[in-house]
Amino acid sequence: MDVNTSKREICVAVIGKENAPLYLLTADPAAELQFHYTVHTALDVVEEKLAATGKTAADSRELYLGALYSTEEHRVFGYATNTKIKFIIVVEAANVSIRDNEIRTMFRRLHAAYTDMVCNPFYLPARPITARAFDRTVRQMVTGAS
Amino acid sequence: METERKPVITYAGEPAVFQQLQNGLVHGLPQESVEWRRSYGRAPRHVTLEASFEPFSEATLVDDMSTLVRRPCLHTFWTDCPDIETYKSSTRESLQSWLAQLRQHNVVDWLVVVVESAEARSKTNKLLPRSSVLDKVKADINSKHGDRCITLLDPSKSDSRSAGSLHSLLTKLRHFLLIGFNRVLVRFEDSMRSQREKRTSSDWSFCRYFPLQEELAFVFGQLGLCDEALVQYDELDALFTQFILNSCAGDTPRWLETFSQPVQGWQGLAVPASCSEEMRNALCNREMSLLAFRNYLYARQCVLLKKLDRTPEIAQRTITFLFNTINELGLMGLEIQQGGVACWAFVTCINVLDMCAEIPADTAAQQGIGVHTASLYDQARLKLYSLGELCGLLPGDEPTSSQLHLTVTLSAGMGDNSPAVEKLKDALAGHDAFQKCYLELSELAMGTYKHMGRLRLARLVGRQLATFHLRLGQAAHAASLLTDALKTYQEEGWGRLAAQLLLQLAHCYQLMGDRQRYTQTCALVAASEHVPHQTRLEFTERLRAPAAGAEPRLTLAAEEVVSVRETRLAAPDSEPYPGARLEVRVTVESRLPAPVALSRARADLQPALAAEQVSRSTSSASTSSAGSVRRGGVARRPSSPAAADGPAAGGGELCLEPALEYKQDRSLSAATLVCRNMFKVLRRKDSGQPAALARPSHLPAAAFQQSLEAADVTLQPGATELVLSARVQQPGTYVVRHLQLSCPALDLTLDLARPLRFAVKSSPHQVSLNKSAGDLLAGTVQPMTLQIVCGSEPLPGPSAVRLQCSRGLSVRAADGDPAAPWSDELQLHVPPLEAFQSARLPVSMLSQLAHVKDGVSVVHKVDIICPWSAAPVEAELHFLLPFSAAFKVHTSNVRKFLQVVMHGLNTAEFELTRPALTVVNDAPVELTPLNETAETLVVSSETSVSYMWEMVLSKETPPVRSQFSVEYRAVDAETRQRFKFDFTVSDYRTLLSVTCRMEPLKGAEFCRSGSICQLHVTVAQEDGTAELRAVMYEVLADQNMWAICGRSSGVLDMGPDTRHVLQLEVMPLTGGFLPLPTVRLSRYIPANKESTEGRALVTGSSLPRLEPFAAGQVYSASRGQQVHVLATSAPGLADRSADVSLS
Repeated sequence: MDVNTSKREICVAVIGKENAPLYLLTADPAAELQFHYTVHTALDVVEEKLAATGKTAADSRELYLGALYSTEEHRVFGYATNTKIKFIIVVEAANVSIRDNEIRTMFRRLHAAYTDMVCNPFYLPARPITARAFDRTVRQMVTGAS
Repeated sequence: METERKPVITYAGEPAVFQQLQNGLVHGLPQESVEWRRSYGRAPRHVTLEASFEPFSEATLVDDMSTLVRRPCLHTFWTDCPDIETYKSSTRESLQSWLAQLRQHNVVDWLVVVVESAEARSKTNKLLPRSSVLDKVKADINSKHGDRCITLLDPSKSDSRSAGSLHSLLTKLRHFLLIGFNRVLVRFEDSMRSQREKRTSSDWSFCRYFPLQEELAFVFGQLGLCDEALVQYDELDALFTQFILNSCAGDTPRWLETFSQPVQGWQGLAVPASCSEEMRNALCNREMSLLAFRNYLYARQCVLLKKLDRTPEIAQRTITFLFNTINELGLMGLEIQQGGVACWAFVTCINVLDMCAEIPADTAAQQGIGVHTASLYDQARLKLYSLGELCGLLPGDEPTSSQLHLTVTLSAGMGDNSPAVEKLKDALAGHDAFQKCYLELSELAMGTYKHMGRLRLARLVGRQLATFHLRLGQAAHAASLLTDALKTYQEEGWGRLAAQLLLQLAHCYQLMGDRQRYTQTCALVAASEHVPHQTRLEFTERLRAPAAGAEPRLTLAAEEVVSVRETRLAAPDSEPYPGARLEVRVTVESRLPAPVALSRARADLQPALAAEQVSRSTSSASTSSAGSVRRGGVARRPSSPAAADGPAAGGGELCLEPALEYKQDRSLSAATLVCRNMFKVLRRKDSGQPAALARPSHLPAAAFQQSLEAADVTLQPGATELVLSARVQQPGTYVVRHLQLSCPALDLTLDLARPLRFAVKSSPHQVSLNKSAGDLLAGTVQPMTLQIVCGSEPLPGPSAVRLQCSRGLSVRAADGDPAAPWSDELQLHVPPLEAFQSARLPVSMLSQLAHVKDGVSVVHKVDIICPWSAAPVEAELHFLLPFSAAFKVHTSNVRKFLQVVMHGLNTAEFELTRPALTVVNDAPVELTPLNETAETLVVSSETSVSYMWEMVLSKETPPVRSQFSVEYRAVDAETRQRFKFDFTVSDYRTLLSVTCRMEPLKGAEFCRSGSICQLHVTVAQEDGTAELRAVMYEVLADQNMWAICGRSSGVLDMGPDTRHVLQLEVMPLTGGFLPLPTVRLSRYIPANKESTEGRALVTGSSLPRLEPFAAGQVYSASRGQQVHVLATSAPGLADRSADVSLS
């Protein structure tokens, strides 16, 4: 059984400054609602982590928040930009082949895609993201094709 | 069991000696800790040593590294031989053989103890060195191991010396035990490591390796190094996990099949104080299930963590442990009874939670653990729920026989009856117990999450709890939980989640029969974009016909359903006035998916409070009626009356204040406007706060007392424009703040984010006096119109307006009798007027034409007295003069002529006829006209007209007051008017005449430039009656032309008929026709002292003075004459020839 080709049930979400969902993509559209819940609850941990870093390090260069929490089925990872935009990636708990470094890379790509998207002068901040290029990038990440 | 793992010390020699001391040693060893310097650069640790003593046997010397247990670390030899003789005879031999045995096995860790009794010591010969038994022993064993031989004073005595001796023995013992132990341990670790390196070989087994490393852990634990022990277990844990992961990748070692057997039991994690040998044996015999192994391993870790006082970490690790184990079970594809894992997880959670409960509350540890305990409660809850689902214990379900059977099977697999197992068994026994347990766990999970600030997780639990409550039929409980959760989701804009909750909530309220909330929720569902279209339609339908009972109408806050895009007055330019029909256009955007018929839509109309009165209603409407010259009656207001206010009420308006900055010298440097609440107004609004559900509509009591309405409109999905209208009777400022849309059964109310504000004003009537095109001309009839613009109040009956003109202006109605007299007052009848209608009444104005000195216009004032205002409206009219007149006296020696010149001032042409000049006073002057009386002349700005009379004088010449009159008519006018011009002529009689004549010097024919000529001036008195005594003459010449030689002025005595001829020598300076020098005569009044008369009193001057003559008194006969002067008489042909040609 080759893990890399197995279905990577994965969800990528972009959360706005005020914790409103800006974008959420799941590999399996039927499970989207469940991922809404998962991502939403992950924000609890994100906020905790942000509050903790805010207190200790003034220079919070590290945007990657690491594993936020896991459930029986999923592992949830977080990343927060300096403008308090949060990225959440959910992977299957059974998918043990994903390493921390891969998650970091994914976040970095996501951040780059988001930055490109936000540069569009027609995009209103804190509005749901509908940009096609961004969607394409994220879809590539979710399906695993790079 | 624990004793077995103590390091072993063997004893040899005389067992009786040792056994006497054994107890003391066993207790004495752990009394003090020893510093353990470790190999491989590991940090030194202080350890407490315990040991068990065994008799020496050669069998224990076998070098077997398969186990650490029961391996001797130190070998001791005990003897109490009292003297050298005894030693030599018996002890020596046994010591030698013992040493030999040790040496044979390469054992270097040994110790020889010589126990000295008090009497033996006293017997020794103190004089001979090296004569004691100890010395002998030391001599027998290798001298370099001399320190491995010690003596112990008689332990039976309790003096300080023997106690010290025992202490030093213990110290030595500890030291050498540790050295030996370390040696053993290092070798063991090496062998263990080499075992581990073989883990990829096919015959390697984890089951064999595990006890090996575990032993190391035991030993560490024994030494009090629990953290080191934990590391061993963690390594084992990681190793095992890695094997499982690798097996997923297809690399399954044979031993792993041991763990592939079906899991028969699901005993939860139990943490016994000591490790059970049974488990170890089971593992070695490959009879252990994966679950049991994991339990065992984790239990060991827990024990160590507890010992390390790191209980909070247990809670943290448990979650990972649970998920990891469940994951491994899945990865291995193990067969397990359905629900078994849930049982295991539940019991594990409860056990760990019990453990955590032992941590004293209100400590930092308890605080830090909260997050993990909450997760554990949450997990326990979830597992219980899934079990309830399996066993048919959820509210509303009845367990089937197979489900009952399952319950029994699961109970059987739970293992021993620990409190946690009891709890689970109880919960699975019946509905009530299950409910109680589930609710308890849910509340605990939710409460703890909330306490830890993980509100979102708490909400998720709450939502699931609400679902449970709903199954129980406790809708009210469910509703409150759901409302809380909904608030969280809505605040953060999670539409999808909120939509789910709304659907549930609607169901709740339906069950509760809360019609108000139910309908409100239906509205929200229908308006939610995250709900499937079909569902939205369904809910819209429910909204349209909510329970057709005769209940009171419902009022819903509709902000989420309908939003107002724009509110404006239908006719923004026209000012609303009292009694007018006011129309407001409201563009609303409905989010409902289907059109909704509204029986009525209305917007409340409230008078604005005094403080809110807009101060920018600038035009007070009192001034605009005055200016007659101003065109257009109604002044346009600078801003539309219905300008919507800034952002919503509540401090949304800009509060501006003037700020003046001064320079140092107190002069103004800058004047600025400062906005005090800029940050409030310009606050970022990128994330609006969504309205909470079922917010009570807080309409003020006065709302909708007066409203703008529209009936029977349909609210289409998307934008709809509603035209609401009303008739407003009272003037004032009004605000539209609320909108109400009435369906047949319910009212939707919403607040306007930007209230519409407008003023209803009663505008006053306006009157103005307007001229027609072109300027007003005095002296001729000017048509004008009086315009009356009716304000917001109509002018019902016929009313009259009176015009009062200032002097010189007269007026009459233009449309009346042409022969009507001009008067300075006129009453005009105003027809009845509707609001904002206007009437134009033509009038004729005539300004009397009079001579104005140097003026071009006359100003008149007209007071317009209106019945509706107390103060008259004043209009200022500027009439331009068509022409002006001037006179001039001409003299020809003694004859006098009078000229009157008419200058046109205006492009308009006027005909002048019948000029006349009459003497008004009794001056004896006769005026003889030199004009054609019948002639008609036209005067305009381009053409002036002159009239001439000759004055025939008599002896007396007093000043003549005369009046010039002429008839004039504008070219296009019909009637003629007479223009009169009064003037006075005085000092017109000629007193003196002056004649100048230029002659060349005698002998010369022509005057030449550069040569002297003679100027003859003749001054004669013409009027004998004139009283002239002396006259001063001055010859004035242009200095560029003439140079006067000699006196140019002098005083002449005058008398009747006196004639003076003066001769002056002048020299022309240039050639050509040169004007003669003029002679100015003045009356000479001599100085006072010379005066013979009493005029000194009058003049009061000691100097002679001059008085000029009036223009008509001196006649200069030669004025304007020129003399021909030839160029210089320098010899030159050209000049000469020029002269010839000129002459």
